[in-house]
Amino acid sequence: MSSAPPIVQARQLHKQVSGPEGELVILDQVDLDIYQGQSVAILGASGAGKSTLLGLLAGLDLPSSGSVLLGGQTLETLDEDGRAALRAGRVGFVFQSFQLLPTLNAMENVLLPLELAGAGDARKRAAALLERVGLKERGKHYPRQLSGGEQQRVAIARAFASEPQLLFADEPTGNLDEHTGQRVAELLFELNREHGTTLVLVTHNQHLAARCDRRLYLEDGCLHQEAMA
Amino acid sequence: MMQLIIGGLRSLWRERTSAEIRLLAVALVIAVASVTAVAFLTDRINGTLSRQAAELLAADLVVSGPYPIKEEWRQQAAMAGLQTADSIAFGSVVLTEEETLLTAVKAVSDSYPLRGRLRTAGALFEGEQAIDAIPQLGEVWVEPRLLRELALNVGDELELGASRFRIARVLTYEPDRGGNLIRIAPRVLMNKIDLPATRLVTPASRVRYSLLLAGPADTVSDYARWLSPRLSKGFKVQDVTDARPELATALKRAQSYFGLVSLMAALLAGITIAMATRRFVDRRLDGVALLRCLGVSRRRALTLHLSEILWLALPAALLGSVFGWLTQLVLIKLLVGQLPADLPTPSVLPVVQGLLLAMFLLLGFALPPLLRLGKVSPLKVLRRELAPPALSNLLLYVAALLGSVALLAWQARDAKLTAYVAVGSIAAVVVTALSAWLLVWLLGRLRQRVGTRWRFGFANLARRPATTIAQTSALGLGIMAILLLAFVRSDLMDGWIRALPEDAPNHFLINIQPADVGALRERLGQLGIESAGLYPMVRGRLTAINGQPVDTESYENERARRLLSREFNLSHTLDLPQDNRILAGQWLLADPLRADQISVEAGLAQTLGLKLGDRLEFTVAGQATQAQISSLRSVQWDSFRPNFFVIGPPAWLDSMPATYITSFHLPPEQRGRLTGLVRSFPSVTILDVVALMRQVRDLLNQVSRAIEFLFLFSLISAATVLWAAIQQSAEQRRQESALLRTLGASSATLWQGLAAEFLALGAIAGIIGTAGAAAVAWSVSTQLLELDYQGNPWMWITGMGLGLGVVTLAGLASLGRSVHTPPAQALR
Repeated sequence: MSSAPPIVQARQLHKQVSGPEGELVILDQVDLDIYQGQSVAILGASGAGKSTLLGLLAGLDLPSSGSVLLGGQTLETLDEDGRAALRAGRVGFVFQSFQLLPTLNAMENVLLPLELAGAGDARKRAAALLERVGLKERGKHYPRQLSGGEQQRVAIARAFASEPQLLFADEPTGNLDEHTGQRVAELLFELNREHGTTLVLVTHNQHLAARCDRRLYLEDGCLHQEAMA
Repeated sequence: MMQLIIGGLRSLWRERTSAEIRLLAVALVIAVASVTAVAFLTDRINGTLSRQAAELLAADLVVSGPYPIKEEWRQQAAMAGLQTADSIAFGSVVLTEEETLLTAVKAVSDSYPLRGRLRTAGALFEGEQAIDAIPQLGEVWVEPRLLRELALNVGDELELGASRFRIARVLTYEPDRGGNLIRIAPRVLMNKIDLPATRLVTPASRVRYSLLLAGPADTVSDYARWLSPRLSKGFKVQDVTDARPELATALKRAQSYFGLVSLMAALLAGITIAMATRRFVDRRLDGVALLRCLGVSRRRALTLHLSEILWLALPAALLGSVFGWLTQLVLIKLLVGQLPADLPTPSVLPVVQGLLLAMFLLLGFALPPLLRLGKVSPLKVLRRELAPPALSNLLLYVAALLGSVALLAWQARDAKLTAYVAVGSIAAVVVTALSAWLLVWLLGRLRQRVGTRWRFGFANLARRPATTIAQTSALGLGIMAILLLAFVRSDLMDGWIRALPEDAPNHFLINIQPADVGALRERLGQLGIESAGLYPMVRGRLTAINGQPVDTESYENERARRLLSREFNLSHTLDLPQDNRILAGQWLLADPLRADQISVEAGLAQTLGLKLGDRLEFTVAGQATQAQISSLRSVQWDSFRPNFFVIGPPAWLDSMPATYITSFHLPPEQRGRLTGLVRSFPSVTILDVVALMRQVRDLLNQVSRAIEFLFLFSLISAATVLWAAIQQSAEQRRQESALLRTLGASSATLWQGLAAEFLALGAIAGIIGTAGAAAVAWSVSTQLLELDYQGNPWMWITGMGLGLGVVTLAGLASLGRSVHTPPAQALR
């Protein structure tokens, strides 16, 4: 175990929501430490609460009780804007449904996090990343003009653009066919290695999970740790 | 079928709070309110007109013309047993101790009016009563406006020509008041027996003599048939059935213009309805797929949704009619004084029209997008991406265009006007859309050079060019219409008044009798008034060109027909008037002894196709006289000097009856000096040009305020187009906001992105609207009025303010919530 403090630290994380049949517990007293440079896969059945956990770890949502520390900062004490500012330039995302802005072209989508973080050489860095994901020629194309695999590659370029310390990926290959999914996964792990980024990957794909340093199983709201790779 | 119709009503009730149903309802209500407002007004005016149809002439038949009625005509009427009455109408100035005012005098005989009744009041603001009498000798009845303008009361005296009269009653209504929509001078009604003593009527005065006739229909038509071949030139016969009274014509025209203005709101509502229905359809595709899976036929699925939408017409028409009724009250208030005073309560017809309009808008604009629901495959329940193809845009546009033209035709009820308006509107829409496209394109280029927030906003506009262009064009046209009415009209009018030289003549003296010329010239000299010269004026009709009798009908040009159907003002002098220039041929002085030569104004020559050397024959007071065109002249009509279409040497018209005319400049504060002049020359009529122009401007102001008010509906309608467009993208925007938050954007960044988008949208609409209004103003003033165009900075401020204000408020109000979308939504 590293001597440096964990980059993500969850303590007694509890999340419940009200449904038609009363309170529903999604996460129950979850403890988790993720260290700089690790890659962690969170596995679980559909509806197990994987995406909810990811949202809490990234500060997109707040727990019912318990706390999350992101880069040493307690998220519960920050308001929505404070949490957004904490994410800007430090956290990257890759989503199952790509989530590119349809009104912006590929280049502008990659530029977005750089500009939000106020990076100086944004355009150069975005161009380099597009080239790295093999879409140098497609910078002016809009999302609807790109295939699913290409869109996800743009999303990956966007995720790495601000050189985040931490990358959250939510089923990144879930919407792709097997072959394209493999190539996109390849790219994701390559870039992760090159940038030394900490990766938190939510998936139910065992092959993808097997490529991570750690695998955690979410079941009945509780997190079960598998042996470290 | 019944089951489906009830089913539609049930669905509508369940979905009454859904955004697109609300939007449809709002669009319909605005359209119905705008159109029924005018329909209510029209209905009430038409009610008055039909009630007055028999009265409008104050007779069953009226013969009128510029000369006294022939004795033979009277005798024939008397023999036929028809009732008759006389009316003699002319313009004249009335005098009080300090003031003068141009009035429309009418002298009538005892039996006037033969149909309808006069109504009068004992004093200003007192209740009116019908009265079966005419003013007694030495008395006049006057319209309220005269009392107000001259600060007089019943019982006071006024001078009319050489006589003094006591104001006995206030005249509130006369059946044959005619085109009071544009009559500027107030009425003075007097007894015919008093007329000679005023010395106001001389052989050459501009007077309209009318013989009113009434009796059994057969006798009247027999008389009309007898009279027709005996009528002298300049005389016409009007009866209630075939003669469209001036009032009715003027009101009909005003109604169709108001109607067309109100239609703009309805057409914009059509766009909103098409957009809202598209969203309605998108959101129901899954449901319809499920219904199809469960065995519902395409037809049933479609009918169910169509009936749901059509049910909306009923409440929308009722609510819209209520707003229309209220609006009509405001319109009447704005047009006070220009409309008949006692409008009847309207019928329910406008409400029916409102309902028909609502159904029409729904069928014309909602049905085409709705048809898509009939094409949903049941397989969509398994494969969600399997949506039926969206209807081709071309088909939608063609449907909308046909719908719009049908609406126009319905409102204008005139094929030619419909064609003009349709072509004009299409041209305006094309120009506006092209400008919008250009601005959106520029914005797209600009986004490379601006920061994230601006880029985000600009990108939203540039990526939805069709929507952006539709929104900015609709708003731009609305803004343009309001600016044209609010600024350009009064700017142009003021500009015209300003453009007159300081010392340009502002008063005309007309009806100067030849015997008075010398004395009047002397008197003007004594008063220190420098006149533009005293010119004789002879009224003659052009009857033949190069020996061929003039056939008015053979002229295509409407102006030519109008000119030929009335008398020209001819004059004689040997001195070329100051502001005239010879364009072709030689001025009369080249051959001063030749009597049969004339100089013709070049514009008139062009309109009538006349050239040098043509021989023209004029009929003056029944005598024919011929002359040859020896020169063509340009005339500066707006110099306010006496000017004439045709001038000959004195020898040409010497023996013809003439009156003289002159004009001069008199500072407004010295108007009092004219009082004495009018007293010495009672038959002379003074026209105060600037005062007349101001009165015309005031009338225009009043009418255009009413139109401006109607255009507010268009602006609100344009705002709903915006609302519909925003709604279409609302879901996507919420998703984008969530994503941006996830990527670390602050709420300030999101707000600024939205603000950038709407500011740009508003600015484009503002630029289009203001530039359009400025272009129209520029071309009208430089091309039509030949004035220097001076831009009005307030117009730009207002135009941009309207664009930015309306758009930014509407946009931020409807999308503000999307900024607060929780970022976790990006994961779902």
